[in-house]
Amino acid sequence: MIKIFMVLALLLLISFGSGFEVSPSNPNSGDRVILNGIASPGEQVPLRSSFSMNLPVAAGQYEYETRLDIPQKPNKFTLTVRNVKDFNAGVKLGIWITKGFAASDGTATISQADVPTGTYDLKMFGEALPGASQVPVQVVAETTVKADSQGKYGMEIDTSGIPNGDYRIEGAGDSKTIHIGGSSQSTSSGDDGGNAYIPQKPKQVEITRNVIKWYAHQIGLNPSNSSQYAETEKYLQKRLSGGYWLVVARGEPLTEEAGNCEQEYCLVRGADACRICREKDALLKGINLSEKPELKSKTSPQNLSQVLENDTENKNFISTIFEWMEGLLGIGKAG
Amino acid sequence: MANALNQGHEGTKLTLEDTNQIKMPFLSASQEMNGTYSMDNIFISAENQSLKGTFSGPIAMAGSKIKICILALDIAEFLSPSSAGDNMTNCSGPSVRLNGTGTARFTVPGVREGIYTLSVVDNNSSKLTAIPLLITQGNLTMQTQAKVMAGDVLTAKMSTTAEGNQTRIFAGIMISMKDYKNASLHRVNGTQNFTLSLGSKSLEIGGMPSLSTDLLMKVMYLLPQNSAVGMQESQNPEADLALITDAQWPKGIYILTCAIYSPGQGLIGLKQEAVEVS
Repeated sequence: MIKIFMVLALLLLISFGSGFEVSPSNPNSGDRVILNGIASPGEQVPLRSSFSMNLPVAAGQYEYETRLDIPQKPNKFTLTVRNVKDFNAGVKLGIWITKGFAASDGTATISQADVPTGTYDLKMFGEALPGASQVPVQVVAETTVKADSQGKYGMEIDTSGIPNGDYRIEGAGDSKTIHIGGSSQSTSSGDDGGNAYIPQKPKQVEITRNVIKWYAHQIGLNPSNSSQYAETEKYLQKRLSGGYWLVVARGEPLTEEAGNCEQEYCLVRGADACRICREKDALLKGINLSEKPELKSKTSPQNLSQVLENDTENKNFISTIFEWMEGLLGIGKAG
Repeated sequence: MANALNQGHEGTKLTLEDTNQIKMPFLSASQEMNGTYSMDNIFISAENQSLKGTFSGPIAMAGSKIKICILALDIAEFLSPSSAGDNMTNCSGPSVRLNGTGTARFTVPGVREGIYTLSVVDNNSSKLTAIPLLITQGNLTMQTQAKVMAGDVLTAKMSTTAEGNQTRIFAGIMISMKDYKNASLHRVNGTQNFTLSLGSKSLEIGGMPSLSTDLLMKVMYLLPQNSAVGMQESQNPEADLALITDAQWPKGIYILTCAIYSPGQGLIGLKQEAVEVS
């Protein structure tokens, strides 16, 4: 779902028409890409983009987390994950709302149209199939753009932070693939992270019996009970999968506040926490809205309750959010 | 399932066996009335499952007869401050005689899914005590961690005894005990509407609150930011819910309320657990 959103964000900013050009076709991360398209004046041009990524599996679990921006509607996204037993998608709309999906033959697919514009914190996670080392994620994003009075499209994409890889874009019988990263083996030049983002480099301890016992007490389980010990180990491995969280020992620096760990162990976010997420954050931040006169200002769902109380336009937005959530959650209005 | 106890008026005590109960927001008949009626818990049982319990009244009632009846809940009537002592001539349930200490065991036949009042009346049909009773289509069992670290995902394994392969929505809401305790449900004066308040936010509900996705969506907007919702749709009788907590959540006790709902059919089960966020 996350990647879908990101591609959607990319696509929605790309005003292709019935034939379009992309320059350069092999940008390095951080380059600006110019896209131009021609269509009939006022033509509605459907666009489709797709790409894939592989999520690492650790202790049988996979996880991905990011914040992303949906710049405009209409939109539709479809996400397919493979090698999974289950799939959970969480979106933060003031509070975290999570829906679980059962996989069929190791595959789970979700599809959603007309995601309201806004900025969303997203997570997807779940249990991989036994023996799977990666969870392939395929993302398809679709939208429709309208040509201006002269039939022109044009935009500039700042690729800072876009991870290396191919993005296939199709529209009006044409297709282009943007390959971010060129042939260079270097990591994303846009992945500077920022000193403020990575203040310290914590050191992950080895997951010993003592660590598991400590974590058991943290989550209210009894490590002396073998099944609860095993359950604790599973929870901890799940927690640590993907490198977002780390267990550090006493004296190690904390990552989110000043000072060092003053207990036997501390659970902290890793300095490299969700590196891909940050790359995606950078991707979303890096895209410039060069020509979006019809794009309304976005309302962050973080402030929904305030919005709800204040203005009519945003009440419509709230209604849209409701409808979207109902769609996302797969529930009707039956009461 | 456990025995559920209700401390009633004037020393009466009502115990129901093998029922669950959930904590309810503070309820009152109106915002202006002084005589509010606290309904801390609602008792839950499965439909068509007979209800067994014990009533204890004041010693002065020893040897007298009481009647037990289950009637559809009229929340406005139930919340009336003059509720206790009301005449209930429509109570036609089984009667039992209190023993020498003013206590009697009773069994009431099961009823269909719905919201009811289980009332105990004396020989003159005066209400001695009453408790709210929620009858669901089946029983719900739930397993979850007793403790979760802020920022971690809480998982809840839910399953129901209700039969059938209809589509079921498994849902859970997690909210801090502090906020939950401060929630309130008021009847708006002179209307059949109710106002559900949570912190600084409130929501007016037209008529008797009933479970619906509309209501669920509206309630979501009342929830403080340190709350979480998890859902899953399944035709199976069991599902795992995931509820995401944030590292910034205040530590403390949270209330996890889980339900299984079948669109068009009703509530299959409801259960509540306390979870510590550390």
